[in-house]
Amino acid sequence: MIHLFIILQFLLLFFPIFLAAKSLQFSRGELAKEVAAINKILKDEHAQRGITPPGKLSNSLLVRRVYLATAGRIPSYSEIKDINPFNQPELKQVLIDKLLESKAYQSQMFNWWADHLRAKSYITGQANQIGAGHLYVDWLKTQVSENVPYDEMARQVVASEGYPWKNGAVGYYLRDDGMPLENMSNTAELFLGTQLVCAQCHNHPFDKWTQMEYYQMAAHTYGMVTRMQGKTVDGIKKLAKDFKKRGNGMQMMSMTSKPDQLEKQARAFRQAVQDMLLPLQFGAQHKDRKLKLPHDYKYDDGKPHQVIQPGVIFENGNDFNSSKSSDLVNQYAQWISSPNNPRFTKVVVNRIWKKIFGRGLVEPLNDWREDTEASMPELLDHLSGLLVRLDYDLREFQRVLLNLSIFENQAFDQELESLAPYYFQAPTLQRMSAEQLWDSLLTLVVPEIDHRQPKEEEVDFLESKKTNLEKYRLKVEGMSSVELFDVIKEGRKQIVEIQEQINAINARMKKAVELDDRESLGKLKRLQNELRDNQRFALASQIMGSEFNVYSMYKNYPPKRKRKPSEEERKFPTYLRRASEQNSPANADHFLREFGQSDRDLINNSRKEASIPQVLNLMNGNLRWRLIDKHSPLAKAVIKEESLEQKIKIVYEAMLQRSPTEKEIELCENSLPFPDLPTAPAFKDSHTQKQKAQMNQKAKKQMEHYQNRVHNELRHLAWALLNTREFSFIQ
Amino acid sequence: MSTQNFFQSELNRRAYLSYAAKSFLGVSILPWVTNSPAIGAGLGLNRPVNYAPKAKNVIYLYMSGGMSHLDTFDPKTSEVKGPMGQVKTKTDGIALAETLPLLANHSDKIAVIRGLTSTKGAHEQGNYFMHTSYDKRGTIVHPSMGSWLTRLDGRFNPTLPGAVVVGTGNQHPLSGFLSTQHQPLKVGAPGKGLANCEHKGFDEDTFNRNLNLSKNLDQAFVQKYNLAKVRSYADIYEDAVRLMRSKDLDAFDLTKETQGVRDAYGRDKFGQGVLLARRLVEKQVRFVEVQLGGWDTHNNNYERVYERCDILDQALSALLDDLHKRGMLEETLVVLATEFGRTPDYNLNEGRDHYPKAFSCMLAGGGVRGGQIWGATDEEGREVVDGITQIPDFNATIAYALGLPLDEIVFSPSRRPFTLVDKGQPLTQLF
Repeated sequence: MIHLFIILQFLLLFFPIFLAAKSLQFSRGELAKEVAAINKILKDEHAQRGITPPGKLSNSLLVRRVYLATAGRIPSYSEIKDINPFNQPELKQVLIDKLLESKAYQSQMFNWWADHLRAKSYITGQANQIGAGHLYVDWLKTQVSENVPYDEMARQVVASEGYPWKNGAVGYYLRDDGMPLENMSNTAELFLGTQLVCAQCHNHPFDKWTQMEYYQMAAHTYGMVTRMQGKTVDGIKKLAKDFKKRGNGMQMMSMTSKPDQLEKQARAFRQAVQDMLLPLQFGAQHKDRKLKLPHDYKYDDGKPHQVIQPGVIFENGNDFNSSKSSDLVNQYAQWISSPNNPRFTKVVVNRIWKKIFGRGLVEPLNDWREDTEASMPELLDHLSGLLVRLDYDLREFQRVLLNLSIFENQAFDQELESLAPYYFQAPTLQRMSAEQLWDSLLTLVVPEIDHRQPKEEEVDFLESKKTNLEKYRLKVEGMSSVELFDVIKEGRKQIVEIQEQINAINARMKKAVELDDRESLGKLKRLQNELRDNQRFALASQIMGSEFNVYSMYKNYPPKRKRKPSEEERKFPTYLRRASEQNSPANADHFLREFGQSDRDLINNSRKEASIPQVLNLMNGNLRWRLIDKHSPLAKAVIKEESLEQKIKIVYEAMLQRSPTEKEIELCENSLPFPDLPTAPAFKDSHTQKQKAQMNQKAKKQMEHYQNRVHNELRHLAWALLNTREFSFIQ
Repeated sequence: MSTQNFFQSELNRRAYLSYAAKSFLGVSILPWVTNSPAIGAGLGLNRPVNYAPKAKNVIYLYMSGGMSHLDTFDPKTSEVKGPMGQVKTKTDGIALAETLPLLANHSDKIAVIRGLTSTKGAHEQGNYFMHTSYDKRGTIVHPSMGSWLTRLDGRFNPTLPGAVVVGTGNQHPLSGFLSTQHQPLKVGAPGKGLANCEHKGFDEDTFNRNLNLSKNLDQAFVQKYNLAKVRSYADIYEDAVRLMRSKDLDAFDLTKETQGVRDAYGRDKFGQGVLLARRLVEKQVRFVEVQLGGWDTHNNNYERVYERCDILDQALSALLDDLHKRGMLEETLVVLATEFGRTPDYNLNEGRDHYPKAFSCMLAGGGVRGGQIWGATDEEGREVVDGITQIPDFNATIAYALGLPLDEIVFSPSRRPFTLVDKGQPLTQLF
C-alpha cells in the first residue's frame, strides 16, 4: 500500500513536468482571455496618449514575422505554399502553435540561451581539455528541447555540482574557472539584471552597492570549487610527488644519459601523469572554504582578511542560516529564482519582450537600478504576474505575446532615441540577427533545413566521450594505490620508448627542412603530433586497455577521417547547418560573427551594426551562388512555372515573402536581358506526322534553352534582392 | 554649421592633394600637406605651440585579459617575482623580464610607462575604459581612438578604411556614437587577406547593373523606413564598393611579403596581424589595432605569460626593427596597452589575479623619445610611487602624438558633449 502511495505522490509531483515538456499549456479559450487582457492595457495606454497604431501587416509579411520570431528563420517556399492566408485569426494561432512545438523553435531558443549563459563549445580554462564546453552546450540543448522552465534552469546552473559529463550544467562554473567573484557578477547581471561588478574593488561608483555587499553575495557560492578533490586524485598527486623526489628514476629506464634528453623524458612523464589525472579534475564541488575581505579593504565596516557572512542584496524574507556550502548554494539559488525576488521575474520578462518586439519595456536590459521605471509599469507588472502563473514557461509566455494585436502591426517607422520612452504601438524595425540571417539564407539554399542531421561521427564522438569518461572515473577510483603505482611504473617505460620515436621523427624533420621538402614535413608533423598524443595518453591507455578509445576523453572532435562524401553531402556540404548546430559561437571569420553573433564571452553581446565585411559577404560571398543553383528549393520552384512574370513572383515570394508590384516586375524585366518566350510551333495541315514530331522536338529544345537563359538572369535578381535592406530587415 | 563645412572641404582638399600627388608625382606629399599651417593648425585650441606632431599613424597592440606587469615590463627582484628573472637591455637603467629578450635589443626605441593606474578591475569595464577613456555605461557607446582619429583628422587614403582591427570579438574598438563610416574594419584571420573582395563570376558591368537594380528595388522600403540603422547600410555599401575597387587592396595580401619577413614576425595570428598592420600603415590606413588574448593568467601564470611573450616579443621586435629600417618609426606611433596588471602575490593555482592599481604599458615611435622609463612602482609592484598615470592621460598622450585636438567637443546623436579623452592630460615630457 505504502509503495502505491509513494508512486502516486511521485507521479503527482512530476506530472506537470511531463505536461510542460511536450504540449502547450493554455487552451484556445484561456489563451484568448490572456491576450485580450494585455491588448486592453495597451489599447488604453495608446488611447490615453493619443497614439494611433500603424496599419496591419499584409498576411504574407505577417507570416514572415511569425516565422522569424518563432522559428528563427524565414519560411521556405513550400511552407509558404502550405499555409492558407490568414483570413481567420485561428489559422494564425494554429501556425504559431505548430512552430512553437517544432525543432526550429528549439534552434532559435538555444541561440538565446547560449547568449545569456555564455555557453561556448571551446571554453577558456583548463577544463576545455576534456571538452567541458561541448558537454555544456549538449546539456543546454537537452534542456531547451524539454522546455525546462526558466526558474528551474536558474537553479540548475547556480546549484550545479558534479562531473561535467554527468551534469553538463557545471559548465556554468567551469567557464569562469579561477574567477569565482566574476562568476557571481555574471549571475547577478544575468538573473537580476543588476551590475555588481564594479563593487568588487570599491563601493560602486554609480549604483548603491557597497563592496561589503558584493562580498556578502559572493560568499554564497565561494564554496563552489572547480577542481574535484577526493581520495583518488589526492593519491595520484602524492604518487607523482614521490616519483619526482626520486628523480623519476629516468636514468634506469632510458638508453641515454644526456641531460637534455633526460629532461625531455622527465617532462613528458610529468605531462603524462597530469593527463592521467585530467579527466578526474574538473567539475563543481562543494568545499567549505570561507570568503575573506581583500587585504586592502579600506571601508570602516570591516577589516582586511575578515571572514564574510553571506548576505543578499534585496530583502525578500530569506533566512540563510547554514554554513554548509551545499545548503548555502541551494538557498541562494532559491532566493535568486523566487517569484518574491524583486528583479528575477521582471528582468526576464523584459528580455523576452525585447526579443519579440525589438526593444525592452526597460532599457538597458542589464542595468536595473532603484529608480528604474518601465515605459509602461502596469504592463510590466501584469506580464510578470503572467509569467509566474505560467510557472516560468518561456515558451507559453512567448505564445501569449505572439498573439497580441500589436504583433500584427507594421513596424514603427520613426527614429527612436536610445532612452526615449516608447509605448509599443508596433514592434520596432530591426535588422535580422546574425543567426536569423544565416538561417534564412540556408532556408533558401537547403531543403528541410530543420531536419539536417549533424555529422554522425560528431554525435557518436560526444556520446562516447560521456560514456568513456564515466568508465574511466569508475575504474580509477576503484584502483588501489599499489595498482596505480604499477601503472605509473609501466607507463614510464612506454613514455621513454615513444620519446625515442619522437626523437627519430625530429631528426627526419630537420632533414626535410634542409631539403625544403614541404610534403614530407607535413606528414612528419602529423606523425609527431600522433606520437605526442600517444605519450600523453599512455597512462590512461595503460589503465583502460588497448581497446578503449582514449582519444574520446581528451579531444574535442573526432580524428579527421578521409571518407567519400555521401550524395547528400555533395549536394549540400555539411557546413550548411543552422547557427545552433555550428560551434558556439562560430569561428572568428564566419558569416555569423561578421554579422554580429555574440562572442559569448559577455552576456548578450550580439550586435546589429553595419560593417564592410558584412556587405562584402552579401555581395561576393559563397552563398549567393547556392541561392538558385540547381539543387536549391528556390530553383526547383522556379522551374515549375513557364511565364517570366510567374517566375519573378516566385523569387519575390521566396525571398521577401510578398508579391512584387507591377512596377517592380517591369523594372526587373527591363533591367535584366530576359529572352523572349519561344513561340509554339505553327502546325499546318500540310505538315506530316514526322515533320510535326520534329517541330515538337525543336520546340522542346527551344523551351529548355529559354528556361536556362531565364534562370541565368534570375540569379541576378536573387542577388539584387539579397542585397536589399528589405531582405535583411524585419518590417 | 560653418565649422562642419570647412571641415568637409578640408578633408576633400587633403584627399585630393594626396591622390593628385600620388598620380602626378608618384610620391606622397603628405608630410608637407599636414605641416602646412593652414591645415596643420587643426581645429582645437589646446595645440602645443612649440611641438609639431610627428605621428600620422598608430599601430595599437592590445594585450587582452590583463598583462602581468611584473612578468613583462616591470620586473622585480623581491620575492613577488616568483620564478621570473630579468634580462639586461641595450639601454642602461632599463630592465625587462626575461620573457622579452628580443625586445631588449630595441630598448633604445621604446618608452616604458610603469605608473599606470586604474580603478577598473573587470575585463569588460577595463577594456572599455582603456579603449575610450570613459566608463562603460548601458546608455551610450563611446568611440575608440581609431574612430576619433578619422572623425577629427580624416582619412588619408579615401578607398581604404580609416581604421582596421585584427583579431577581436564584439568589444572595442568600435565607432560608438560616431557614424558607422568610422567603424574599424575587422579582419579575423590576417593570413587569409580580406575576404570576399572580388565579384567572381560577374564582370564589372554586370556587377554595377545588379547593384543598381538592387538599389531601385529597395527604394520603396528605404523611403518608408528612413532610419539611421537603415541608412548606415547604404553608406557601408558605398565604402565596400570603393574598397573593392581600390588599387591598394593588396595591402591585405600577406603573400606579397617574402617568407623571411613573414617568419621574422612569427607565423601565428598575432605576428602576421602585426605584419599586416605595417603594410596597412604604409598604405595610409591610419589606425590598426592588433589584439592578442590569453593574458588572463589566473592559473599557471609563469608558463602562460612565457607562452604569450614568445609571440609578443617576436612580433613587436620585428615590427620595431622593420619600421626603423623603412624609416617609418617617426611617423608611426606603436602602442602596447592592456586593461590592468596582475597581483604581485601568487594565488593557489600558481596564477596571478586582476590588479588595476599598478600596471605597465609601452609607447614607441611617433615622436616619443626611445630608451626611457616613465613612472615607477614600489619594489613589489603594488603601488605607483612615481609618475602616476591615469588611463585618460595615457590616451591623451597618444592623441598628443597625433596632434589631435584634446578639447574639441563632439556631440553624440543624443546631444551629449564629449571630448576625445575626457579630462586626460598628455605626458608631454615623453617627447
